[in-house]
Amino acid sequence: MIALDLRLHLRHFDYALLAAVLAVVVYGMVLIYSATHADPQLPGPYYYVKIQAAAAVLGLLLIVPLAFIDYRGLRNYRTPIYVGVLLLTLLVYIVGSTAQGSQRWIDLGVFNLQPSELTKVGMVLVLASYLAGRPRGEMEVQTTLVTLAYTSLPLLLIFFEPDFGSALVLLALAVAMLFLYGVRWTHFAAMGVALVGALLLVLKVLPVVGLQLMKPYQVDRLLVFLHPDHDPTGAGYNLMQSKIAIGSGMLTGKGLYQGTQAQLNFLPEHHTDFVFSVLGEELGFIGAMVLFALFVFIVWRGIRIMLMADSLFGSLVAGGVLSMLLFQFFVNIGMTIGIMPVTGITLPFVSYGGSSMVANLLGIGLLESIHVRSRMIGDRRYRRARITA
Amino acid sequence: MFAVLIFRLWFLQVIAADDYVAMAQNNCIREIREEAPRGIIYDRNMKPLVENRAGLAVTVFPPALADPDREIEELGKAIDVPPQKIREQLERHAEDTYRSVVVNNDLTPEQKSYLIERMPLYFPGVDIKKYPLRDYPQGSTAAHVLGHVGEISEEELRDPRYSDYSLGDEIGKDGVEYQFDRYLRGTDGSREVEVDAAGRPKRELRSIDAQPGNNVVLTIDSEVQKATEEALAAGIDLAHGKGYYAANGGAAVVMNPKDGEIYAMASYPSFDPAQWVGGMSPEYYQELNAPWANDPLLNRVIAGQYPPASTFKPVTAIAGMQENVVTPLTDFTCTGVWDVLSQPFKCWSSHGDVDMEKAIAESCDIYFYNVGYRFYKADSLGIQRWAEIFGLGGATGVDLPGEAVGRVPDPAWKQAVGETEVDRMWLPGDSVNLSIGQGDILVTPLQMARVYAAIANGGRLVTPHVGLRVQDQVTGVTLADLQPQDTRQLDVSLQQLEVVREGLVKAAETGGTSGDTFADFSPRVAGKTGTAQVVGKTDYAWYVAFAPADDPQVVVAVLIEQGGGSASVAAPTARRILEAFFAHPPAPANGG
Repeated sequence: MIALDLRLHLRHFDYALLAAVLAVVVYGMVLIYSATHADPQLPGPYYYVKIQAAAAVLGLLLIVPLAFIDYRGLRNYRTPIYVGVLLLTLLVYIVGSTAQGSQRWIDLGVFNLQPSELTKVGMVLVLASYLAGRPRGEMEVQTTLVTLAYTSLPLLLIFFEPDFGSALVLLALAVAMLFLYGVRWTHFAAMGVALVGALLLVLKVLPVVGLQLMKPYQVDRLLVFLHPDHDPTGAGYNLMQSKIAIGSGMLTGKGLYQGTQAQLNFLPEHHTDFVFSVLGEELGFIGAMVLFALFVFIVWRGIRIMLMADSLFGSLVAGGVLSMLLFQFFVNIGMTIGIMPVTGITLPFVSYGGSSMVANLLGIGLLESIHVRSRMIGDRRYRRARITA
Repeated sequence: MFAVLIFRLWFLQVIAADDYVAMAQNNCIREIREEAPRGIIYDRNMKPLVENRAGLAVTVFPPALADPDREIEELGKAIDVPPQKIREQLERHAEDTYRSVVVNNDLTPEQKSYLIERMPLYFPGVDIKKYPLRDYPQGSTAAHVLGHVGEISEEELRDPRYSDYSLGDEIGKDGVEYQFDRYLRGTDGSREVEVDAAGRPKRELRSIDAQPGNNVVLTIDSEVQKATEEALAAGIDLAHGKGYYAANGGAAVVMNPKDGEIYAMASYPSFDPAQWVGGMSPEYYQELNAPWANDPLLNRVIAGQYPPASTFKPVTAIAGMQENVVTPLTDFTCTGVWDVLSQPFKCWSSHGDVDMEKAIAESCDIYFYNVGYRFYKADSLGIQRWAEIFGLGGATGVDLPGEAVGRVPDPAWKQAVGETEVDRMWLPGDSVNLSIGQGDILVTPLQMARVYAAIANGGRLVTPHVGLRVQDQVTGVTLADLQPQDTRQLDVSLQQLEVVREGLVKAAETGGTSGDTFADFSPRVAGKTGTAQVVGKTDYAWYVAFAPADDPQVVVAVLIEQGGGSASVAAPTARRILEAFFAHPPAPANGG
């Protein structure tokens, strides 16, 4: 029975999706290698690549059980998941390690865990679970408010770590899922007004009365993309160097490991936030388009899964994972080319970072699970197996 | 949304890519200029007058400065250059985006170690490199001949002479450094280096070695030069000792009368060319430009213009004979006063009956007043003609910049410059004054040396020069001969020249004007004093001579501004020079 079940599951696995994700992961590791292999302070040229590969393997191993369990069961674990998410995030405040002025990581000895990454996936499940149980067209205001309330708790915790980027992803996630669920457009308008008001409050009003919720560098980063050439050595430096890197890559790039911006360290954080700039410089427009093509493929598979999901919960989970990936993709790349503020959001599957890799692969695992489930329902052998059981 | 990203990428990587490629190169490619050492300047005995030493230059690459204001401020303190000057220098080089700008090229060892310790952390964009600097092994010897070097100015860059020079080039600003700049100047090399974000060089992309400039050998003899400078300074002291306290400037030139080779050229006061190396201190600049400094940069031998006074009399004598106004035997009587004209003209003594030889030997003014007046009555410009034939009123063609031409006054000149009707008229007094080298005539000491060289060598007008030849700095092979070939034989009677020469010999013997100084001198000297009256000043003292009188090897001209006595101050100065000359006569220049 188990054997048949396993065969059935494997049969309905979305291999195309997995292959595209794997391709992006490998592409990313090549770029990380290029960005870091010449760093004399590292124990070896493959130091970051190895850690990234380990995280990828861990993530892939988690995909298999995720795909095999009935994801629908997760719907009932909303509260434990939510509490887990909150506890993990709170833990950062208690035992978290600090780097560059922010406390985002928990040192687990072998590696550093960044809970905010797992929070994103967790919140996809929590919000999908909540929204799937809400009757359509009734008490929509309550639906929206509860969704935002669910979101705001971990969001604020993460915001004050501070991890502005991840907080932003959570917000985007909540809005996207409300949109997929289908609340009235007036809600989005109201949220927009509230957001602008909140930003004004945080950036302009509160500092005047002496309350500085955002660190000065975060404000700088946020505002500098509007005029990066103004101060090329200060806060706009990173952005300027990133644009120089990408622009000078031209159509075909300078060649792998040949990017002067990346190899000579003009490019900051070139294996994490600005890994796309390495791609743009060394492999050019064409190299960037290859990544885009892979991403478009992943998104297409994701949308397909969302549409064929066997339940509203499944659709919402698929939509949540998709919007999480897409949002990070746009904001990260937009940041490197100067059309989005610098927020510290990484490029999914490409940027160096174990927690983010595992979390994003977990998201893929959920997609696979939904895919397998929805396909098996239509499979005769599966039905027969159920009947004989 | 994908489309937005793709359009933006297309814009960055295809449409605007060239700009970003340039910016990326600007980030990591640094062109480091390797300044070529200039050629060495030797004296005629191959003793170096100007060499090079290895200096250390501080360079600033403005785009790499992390905090320009703080860095410039602190760098200025560290290297003892006012921050404002560093800013101005960076401003001047603002268009030179790939290159580092030299802000100081002569670091002391202490400054160097201070900077090297702090550069990586506190001074990103600041660097130190080797820089060849001018060195003067013989101090300020021959400073006016050598000139000095400095960074090319914006004005100079616009000059067609410097069409193939560029910003930051070091050029000769004066003297030989200026005159022979195209030989002395090397070809700068450059290194293109790839640097990382911290400014550390990673690899060399391209390197062109600097080609050193070519050496220039001069006719100057260092020993004679030093003796001449010492004699001139001593002459000024002597003037002070004799009560002429206003004496504060002078010139002396020592030349070969046969070919115009200048053995020594001294001008007082002088300067230290080493002060230009590594940027002149404000103190020294003030010292040079102070009103009492009396223009130390002026080379009085070629650019000082003075009335020749009695040293001009041989020219009047030759003119008189050539134009048949007088013969060597013509007699005039000197009673001490000549009152043919409404205003009496005096002689410094009363000489009785005077012929030409005696007139020159004893420097009788009244003899020459008569000659001048005869020219006036004949309505002749003979004196002016012969003055010009002997090269007065025109450039000697010496191979040094800034030569003055002097002035030979004639009716046309008076007409042109006179302000009133009377001023514009050529009066008998003008001819009379001119005959003894007074009035409006002006000459340079070098012009007078050239006149006496022509008297000494049988009427050949030489072109004075300091350049001998150009040599390859590496191989020593002669590349060019700098000696002029345009010695000109004047159409002048040798017998008449002989009369003048005889007068000049007698002038330096007992009974002559400089007999006190030269009667006991060996070899025999032929020479003439001159005491120039300048309105409002103590008299200027001249002495022009050649020796040995029968086979002239050397001509010397000495002028001491406000030196008072030509016989008591200028002649002894010339003697000291001649003593030094004959103690170690310069070897003939047989280089090549």
